[in-house]
Amino acid sequence: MLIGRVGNFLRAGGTPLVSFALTLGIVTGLLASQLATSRRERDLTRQIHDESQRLLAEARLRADESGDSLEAAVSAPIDSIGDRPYIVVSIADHRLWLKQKETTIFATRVATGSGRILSQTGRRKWKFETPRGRLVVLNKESDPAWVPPDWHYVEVAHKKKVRMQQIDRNSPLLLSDSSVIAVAGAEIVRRYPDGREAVLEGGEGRELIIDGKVIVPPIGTNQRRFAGVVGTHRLNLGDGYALHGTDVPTSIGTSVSHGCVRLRNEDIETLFRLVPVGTPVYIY
Amino acid sequence: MAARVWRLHSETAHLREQMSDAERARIDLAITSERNRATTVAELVRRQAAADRELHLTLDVDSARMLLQRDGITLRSMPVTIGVAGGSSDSARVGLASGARTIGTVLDGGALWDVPERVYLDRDLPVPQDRRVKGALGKVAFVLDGGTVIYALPKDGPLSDSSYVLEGAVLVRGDDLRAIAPNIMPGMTVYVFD
Repeated sequence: MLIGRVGNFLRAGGTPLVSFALTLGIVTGLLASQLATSRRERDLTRQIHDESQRLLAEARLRADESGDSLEAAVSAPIDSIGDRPYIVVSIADHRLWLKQKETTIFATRVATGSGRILSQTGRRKWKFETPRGRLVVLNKESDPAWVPPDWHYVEVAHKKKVRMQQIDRNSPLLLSDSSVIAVAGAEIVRRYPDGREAVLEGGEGRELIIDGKVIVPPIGTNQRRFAGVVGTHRLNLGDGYALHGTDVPTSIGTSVSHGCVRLRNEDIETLFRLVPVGTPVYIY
Repeated sequence: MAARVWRLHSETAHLREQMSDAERARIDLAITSERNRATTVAELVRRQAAADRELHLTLDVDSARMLLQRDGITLRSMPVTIGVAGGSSDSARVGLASGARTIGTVLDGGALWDVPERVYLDRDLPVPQDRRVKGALGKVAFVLDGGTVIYALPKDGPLSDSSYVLEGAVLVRGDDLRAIAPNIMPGMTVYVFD
């Protein structure tokens, strides 16, 4: 019965209407499906987009922070000796530089420690090295005298193949001719049996060698003060080390000293003028 | 419904476009950030070196100079050559990243040193069975705690080629190395910055 009625309807011109309804249904279904797909895509894209924006904000924050750190690092003051002048000595190059910041104010050649070892049989040993490290100009002297350390007399004794004889203020030294070597004030004197007294003269190369012994005068006597040996000026660095002039200018540029830094007299004079007490001296 | 689909498509396309911009900006910022970080590290190391009161070495990789420093002043500035792998400077810099190292060992001319196989291969020399060579690094050389070697051109041995620098190592002039060697002790700091 129903099939018959549908057949009548189609024969009476209902076919296009049915086709339209079917097409509309299919299109609507497809559009609904596409809409759902597009919405999912949009939602997913938005999710990723939001995440991307969050990461961008984080990156911006990190970049700002790193920029701030860099600015802080660059602007922080550096703790250094600042504008003060300083001296640098290269032992290997036999060179000295007086500098301020990176500017060289003065440069010259120097003599440095020989590195030689001196031994006093069974007793002491010295190594004549220029000390490496940071020292400071403690004081400055014009026309300095050299007060030879004990090793000087050990060297003389070795060279002259004689023994050493220490003299002190309280015990005069009796010699083979019955004369006596004694300390009188700031002088070393020789008293003869007939009552005569003579002041002995000493100096570098003129050490007192009497009765086959090199006399070691006590510190504070004039016989233990050698004039001119260390040049016209001296900048003392402590522990017996110094920057000083020389009476042997040909030694400059070599390793011959007993540890001091030796300069030509005209150079030490320049340093004497330019370098204030307290100036750091870097020796390497 | 079609209009809604079209609107959603447009919105998605717009978001994608924004995302591309954001990605580009993020990459740019990451690069800036990394550059700032590297510069900051190098600057901090440089400042750390400058403020160090003790005697130390500073290696400025970019300027190819090594400095003997103390109290913020430079006692000696020395030109250096940094050994690169296969002509690529990036390889050498991996081993010389900014930071503080220490002198691990000071080698003298009598020390045995295990010459890396690549030295022989690079120089087309036969690789010996025993690669330990006495004085291979010259009269004096320093080995840092990370293995980086600071040396001068030796007179003989597998490294005695003025055109060859050991990969990742620092080649110093002989005069410079001799001048600073007595001052260099194990444990001394070596600041490296790029």
